[in-house]
Amino acid sequence: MIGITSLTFLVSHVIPADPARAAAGLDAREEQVKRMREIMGLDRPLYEQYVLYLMALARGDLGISARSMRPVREEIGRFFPATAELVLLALLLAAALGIPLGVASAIHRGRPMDRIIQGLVLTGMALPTFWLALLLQLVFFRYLGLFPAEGRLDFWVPTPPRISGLYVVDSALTGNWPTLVSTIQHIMLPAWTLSLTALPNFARITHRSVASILAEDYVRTARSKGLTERTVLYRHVLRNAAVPIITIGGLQTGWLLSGTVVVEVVFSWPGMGRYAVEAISFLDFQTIMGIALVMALVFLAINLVVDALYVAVDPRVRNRE
Amino acid sequence: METRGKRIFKAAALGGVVFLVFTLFGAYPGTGRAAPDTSTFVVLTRNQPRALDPAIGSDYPHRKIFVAVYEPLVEHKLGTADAENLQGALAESWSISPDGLKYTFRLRRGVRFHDGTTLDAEDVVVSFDRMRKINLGYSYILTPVREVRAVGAMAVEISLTQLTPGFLLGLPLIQIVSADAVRKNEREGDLAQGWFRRNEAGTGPYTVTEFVIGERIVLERFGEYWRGSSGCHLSRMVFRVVPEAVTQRVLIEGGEGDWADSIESDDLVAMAKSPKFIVTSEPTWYLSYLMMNTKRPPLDNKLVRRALRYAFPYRRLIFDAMRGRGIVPRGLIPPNFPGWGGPEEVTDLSATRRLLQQAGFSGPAKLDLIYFTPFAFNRAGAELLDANLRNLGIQLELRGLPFPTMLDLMTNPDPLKRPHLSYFASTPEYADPDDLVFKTFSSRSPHWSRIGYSNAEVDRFVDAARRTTDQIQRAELYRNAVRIINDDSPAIYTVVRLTDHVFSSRVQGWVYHPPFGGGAIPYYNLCLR
Repeated sequence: MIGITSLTFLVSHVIPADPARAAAGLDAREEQVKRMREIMGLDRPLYEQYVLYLMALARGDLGISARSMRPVREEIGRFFPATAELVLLALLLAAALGIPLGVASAIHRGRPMDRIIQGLVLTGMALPTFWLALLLQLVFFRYLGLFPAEGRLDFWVPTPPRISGLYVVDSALTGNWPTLVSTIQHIMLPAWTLSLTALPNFARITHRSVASILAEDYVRTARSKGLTERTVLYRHVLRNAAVPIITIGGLQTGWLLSGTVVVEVVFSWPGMGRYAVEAISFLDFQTIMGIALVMALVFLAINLVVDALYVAVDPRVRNRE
Repeated sequence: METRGKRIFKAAALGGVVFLVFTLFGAYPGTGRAAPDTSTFVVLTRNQPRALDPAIGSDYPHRKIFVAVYEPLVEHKLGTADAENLQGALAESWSISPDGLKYTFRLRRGVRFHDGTTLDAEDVVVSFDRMRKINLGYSYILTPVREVRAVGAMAVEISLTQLTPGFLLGLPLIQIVSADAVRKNEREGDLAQGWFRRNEAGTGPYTVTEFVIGERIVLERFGEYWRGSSGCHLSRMVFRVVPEAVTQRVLIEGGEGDWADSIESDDLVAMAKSPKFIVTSEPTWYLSYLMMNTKRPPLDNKLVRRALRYAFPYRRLIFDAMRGRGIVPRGLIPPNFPGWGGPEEVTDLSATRRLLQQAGFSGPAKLDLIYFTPFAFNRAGAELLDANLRNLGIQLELRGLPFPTMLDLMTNPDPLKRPHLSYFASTPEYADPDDLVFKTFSSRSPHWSRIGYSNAEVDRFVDAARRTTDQIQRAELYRNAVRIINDDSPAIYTVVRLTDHVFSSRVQGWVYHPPFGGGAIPYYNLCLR
């Protein structure tokens, strides 16, 4: 953590621009820029700024955003759950479709079904997210009227009381059904868009993993013992193929978390991606540091979860430990 | 017998199928089609204000909300911007001392703030003092103020340190807040800045009822508004943050918005043909220009600068790249502004060639040009200029940058290290030549002096104009200053932007109000069909 905080602090402070001038505005007089520099603590020596930053961090204080003048912790607390909710659903959708498609193509390797799935996967990989997002908006909002095109919630339904920050969870926990319905409707198009960027990877890795397990001697032995194909698949193949799929799941979670910008902008989703871009373009370095720190923590947490899943699904890992 | 793994897989598969079916078909048809409340005005806007504090915010996202929520002492009659058309807002009347240094405002009685208190002199004193202490936003308008004091319960006297003929014209930008709210919500001497981030205490026709960061701001009609609510008015306004222009178009076409503020030119042209929308095209005060570094060769020679001015493809930028969504400038004064007029800027490459020869320019030369990355028209203008100049031995090195980096380059202590050309824009805040000529061209203003422009004669005329209240004399002094600036050509004025509002056809009562520019609109007279 010391490494992460040092790195983010240093990188944020060597950017060739003056955040105080940017915050004060184009026509600000020098004394206004100076005042802004004092407000932002930039008038102090760098080492002092770093020590103050660490002390504040120890209190859970991520500083004040120069752009919004609000506490960064408060803003991240609002934007992160929006992204987390979106990424979790996108991951679920990608896995729910991608893994079965990968299994099916591996089982039917070299046959028309395999070719069709591989073709779909390649097409999915080639689709630009921006284009896909607009296409889904046009079809499902503009022409079919099935889903809303933007935002997290209809403005005429109440925002759920804040428990986890995940609207789906909070509105379900508080029994706020109109809000729950509105939340689910709003999350669908961005989640589908995001999931379609992750789905091909799930399908490809599952295909490779299952295909290589199918070629193993113990699978041949299981078949020669007279076990049905389904038993072979469920008992011998899928369990052994799970480790690479979990790995790609972890990687995809990280990738989705850091790759939500386009989806969040097109669907006006108030998440971390949009927040990060706005902070970077404004050189809001307290916010940039806060985002980098939180994302680093999330990546650590994802790795821990992935390791725990390895232990859970693979007895070899368990026994080695 | 089924194995445990098989059962889990089956359950997961079933769950997945149910989930997919739900996500694809679970939503009831027609969702998101329209707001259930037809008296709600839905605004699709690119940005949110960072705070609801009139002492801090001065850009369009702030003004968009402020003009609905707060009120100043004086304001312009709808659709006007000049001094003759100023009228009282929270002030019923005012008088100016013969020496022009004291302004006395008699306040309107019975005006309620949204926090339930009633307007009196203390509110005005606290609002002005608070703004001067915070020293951000529009506080520069109050620079000449010596003191603001109550003279009785319902009158305020503002004394100035120096004669400031345009002072009254700047006052519509100074909003009055409830002194009671400031006092009650002040924490550790912050003048209630923390509280004003998410709350307001104004007297305007609308009050903020919900502020969800990054999502929306909801305003409801204020029942005790002093102008009353007879006639047709909006009962609720919702400002939804929609940063992407294409999404704004999709939403307003789908009936989910009444005003979109950031639609692209191509889409505006198409939408203007539809009876479902009202696309506005009023010339604003927003003038886009290329600042030239007058200290850095070869632009230290005014003949070269004039040559570049003739090389800019004004019409191609406006009619090809911008699809007609702009007008050709007439020098540095924007339309509907005192002093506007004169010939349009013209593209004349033979004049460019002749002026370069007169300047002794032998070429080739490479000039660097920076522009703010998100502004596509600036890039288009820069590329078109580059194409014209290449044939004349001048090559432009174009760099799109984030705004803070641009500012940093332009404020380099060494003028020779600042860029040759910087794409910028200015919008005067009020219709006094001082706000344009002094702010932009005086060597004592931080604006263009950053890139090296200064002319003692211009300073002399501008300073003299600031010391007289004789309007005819002032106009003459500014005309002289503008003539010199025009001759010096420190910039290429590229385009005057038009308002780009798209309203749904159910919106009635929109009037272009020049002081609000292209960012805000007067809401009080708006109505939905």
